[in-house]
Amino acid sequence: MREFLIMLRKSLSEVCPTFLQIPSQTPYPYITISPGRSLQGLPWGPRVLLLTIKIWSQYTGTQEILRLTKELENLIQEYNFRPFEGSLKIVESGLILLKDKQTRVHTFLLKVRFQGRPYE
Amino acid sequence: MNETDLTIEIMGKGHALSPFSARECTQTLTPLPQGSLRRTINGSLVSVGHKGHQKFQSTISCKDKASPAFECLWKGTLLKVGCIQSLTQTVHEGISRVQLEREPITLHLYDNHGKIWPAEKGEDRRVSFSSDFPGGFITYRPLLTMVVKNYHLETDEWGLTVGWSVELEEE
Repeated sequence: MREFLIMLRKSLSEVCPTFLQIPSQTPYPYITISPGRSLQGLPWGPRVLLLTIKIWSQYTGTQEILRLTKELENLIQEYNFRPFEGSLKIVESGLILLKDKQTRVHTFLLKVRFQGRPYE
Repeated sequence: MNETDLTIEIMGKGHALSPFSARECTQTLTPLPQGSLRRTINGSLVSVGHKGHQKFQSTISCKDKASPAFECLWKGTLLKVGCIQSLTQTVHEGISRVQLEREPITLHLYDNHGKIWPAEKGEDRRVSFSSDFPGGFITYRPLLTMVVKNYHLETDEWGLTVGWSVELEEE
């Protein structure tokens, strides 16, 4: 799974700098990836992972974050899983303005399914 | 893209599951009601059904973003269905070969502690494995030839979802 997250981070970096762990003083905009619940029902079965991807922007107004959101959405929908076998689905997507009235965050909640092993 | 393990092939037409149409499918597999249960003269309850008529019925449904390619699907259409619902057979200790009731697409042999053992699929639904196997189970996803009884499509336009279900009966 770690290899997948690293590969995903690399792919999303095409949109803007992407991190699994944000370094301090990171300039905006940037993307964060946070893996959530991960479940494999059987030792050989598929694994389903919940993933949260957030775009962070402090650009005045919504122009920047809406552009980045569209680019990220396109990238996710056409995401090439190789060399992994699997697929992903956007479950939720929404934009909020934080209490500082400066930072906008667009959150994608994704379900990622890694294919199981067909034979033993 | 590998969105599902489920496969639906419309015989003579090709695969029916288009991208974005089959994520998070569910499938039921139910023995078709056939024959009946009767009491013998001794009072035992026995089935008088025909073994050759032991078939499955299945309902597959899904809620995703696109419709599957069901345009040429009508009652009676033949499908090859690679099921996501698996079947499991008990394997006794001391044997090294079993015959499955249906054609497997994928199979896994494991002992009573859950340890996985190598198994090889052969001709005529036969599966062979080491004679050291201490007993356990084979789980496999069957490939079934099924006949369409009915299907259903539905779109929630503002909810951006497309739902579908198909009712099937084994040929």
